[in-house]
Amino acid sequence: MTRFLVRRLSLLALVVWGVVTATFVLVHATPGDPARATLGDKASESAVQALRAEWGLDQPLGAQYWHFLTDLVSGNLGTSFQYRSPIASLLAERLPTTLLLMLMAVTFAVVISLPLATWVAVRGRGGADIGVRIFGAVAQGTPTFLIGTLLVIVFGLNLHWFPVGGYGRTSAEHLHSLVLPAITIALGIVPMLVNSLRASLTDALQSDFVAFGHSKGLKPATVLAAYAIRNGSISGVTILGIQAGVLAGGALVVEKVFAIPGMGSLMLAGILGRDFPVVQATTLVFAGIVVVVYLVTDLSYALLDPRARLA
Amino acid sequence: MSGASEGQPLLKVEGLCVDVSIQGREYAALKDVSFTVQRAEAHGLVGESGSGKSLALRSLMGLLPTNARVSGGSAYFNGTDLFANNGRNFRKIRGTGISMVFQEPAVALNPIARVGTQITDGIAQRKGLSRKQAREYAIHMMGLVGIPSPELRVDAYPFQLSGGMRQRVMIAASVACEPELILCDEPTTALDVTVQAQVLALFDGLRAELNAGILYVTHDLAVVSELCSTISVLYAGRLVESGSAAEVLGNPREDYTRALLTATPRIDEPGQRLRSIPGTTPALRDRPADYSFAMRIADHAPDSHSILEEH
Repeated sequence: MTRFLVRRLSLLALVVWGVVTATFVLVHATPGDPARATLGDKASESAVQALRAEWGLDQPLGAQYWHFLTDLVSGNLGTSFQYRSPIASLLAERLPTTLLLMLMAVTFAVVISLPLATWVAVRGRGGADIGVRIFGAVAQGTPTFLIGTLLVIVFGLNLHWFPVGGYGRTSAEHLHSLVLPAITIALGIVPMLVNSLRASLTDALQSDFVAFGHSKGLKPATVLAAYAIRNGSISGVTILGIQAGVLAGGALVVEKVFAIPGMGSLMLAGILGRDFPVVQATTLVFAGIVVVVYLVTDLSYALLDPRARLA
Repeated sequence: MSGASEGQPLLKVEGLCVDVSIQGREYAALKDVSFTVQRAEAHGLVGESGSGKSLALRSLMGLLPTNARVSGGSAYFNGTDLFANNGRNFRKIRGTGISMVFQEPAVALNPIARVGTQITDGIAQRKGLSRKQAREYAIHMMGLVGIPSPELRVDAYPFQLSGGMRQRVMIAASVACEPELILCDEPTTALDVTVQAQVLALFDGLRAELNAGILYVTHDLAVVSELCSTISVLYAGRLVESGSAAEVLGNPREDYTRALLTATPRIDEPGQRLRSIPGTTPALRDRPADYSFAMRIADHAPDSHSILEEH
């Protein structure tokens, strides 16, 4: 177990380094000058050059990369060009919002998918199956921003159940305003999750161990929960893990649509304002989240399946 | 069990018909099968693969696969009509009345539950046993079926036990509620010969101790002659012969029974070539509704002389 963790953590470091480097290259290869973007078209060339020198952008690329890496290793994420404040404090402000959003999205995805998949698997082929397949295909094929906009129109503008955007001030308001964004992200994951869960639950329901459970006279609900769903849901964890990237990408778009002050909107603002340090830091954090989710996925097998833990 | 009266057979199956639907067409997999099992009696249901013997067993448990259904006949357990009441009668008798030992413990035990739990979950739910009581009862049952040091194995998972131990766990689970009738679906097929003999001895002991009836499905006449006092021979979904084991095995009236007997390897005739029955039972969709053993012999006439003329 320790060796497994050490191996996985060193792999994690390698992946993060790769992401950070790729971002650095992309950010610097993209046209547009941060100093010019900050000062505006009317600023004099000398003022722009002075600012470039202040931010170290006049140095050779290799030197900039070296500074960036050494700062990163020592825990210094740099200072935002736009906000003129340390990135660490910006992240501390924004990260919890995004983490909460992702957590709610995963929860909604599971809460929607598991009962739906179970219902279809128990019913077998027929109307329910076809209905869920069509719903899945439509949900899968609809872009996140469109789903988000539709939800805003229906539940925000017409029914007034949830705020149209923003994040509110109190914790309760935070939660309330994250419901629609979280459902929007969840709907991007649900189709794959339902499909995989339905397949594995159908297999489990036809298995001998479910028949064995019934043969002992257990209540049908017990057999369904303890025998079929417990075995059938293991594959769902894989799908959830694989979808971590979709989750992160979803947060990016959805925070923009719903005006949520999270990591995603910070990153977008960074990209538009040529705010290199912000883009680099937010990419790093998103990459970190995805890699950690993969790690947690692997570890959760051990929790769910004794064969992975003990064999 | 209420309704039990002396003189009435434990299980009385009359005119049992099971249809299987394959790609929208219905095929008669069991036709007009009748037999009885008395208390403390082991009855052998003998036939090759495709004879319908496992379907017969599963229909008595209400555990037919989704594409199969009972299309005629009746089955009375202690005077209770099993097929009446829309299948609800099964729930009452599973575990305490009738229990089942499956063919492959490797797939019939829940892979992610501890064996002790699987032995006692039925009785624990019924009698409201505490966790500790259930564990003690599991250890007791594991000792009863000859699992050495049960207190060390009660918390093991199925994959941590050998095939023989797993089958003993399955047997312990099926007798945990002290059923009156044990259905056995070729439970020794997956075991090697020495373990097979031990398991058969175990069944014989349980039959005598619990005064339980045993319905033993197998293709292995050696097993039948060892355990069963009465036999029914199935061929292609029809009963071809039945009677006491001594009668049927000693003086078979039907060609098919004779062929089965000839095909059983004998230890007292060393050096004999293994003899087989020519051909196989065709799959349901490939055989005429009135398919008989004579037709199979006719189809394989050139190579069938030897086996029928030796008698």
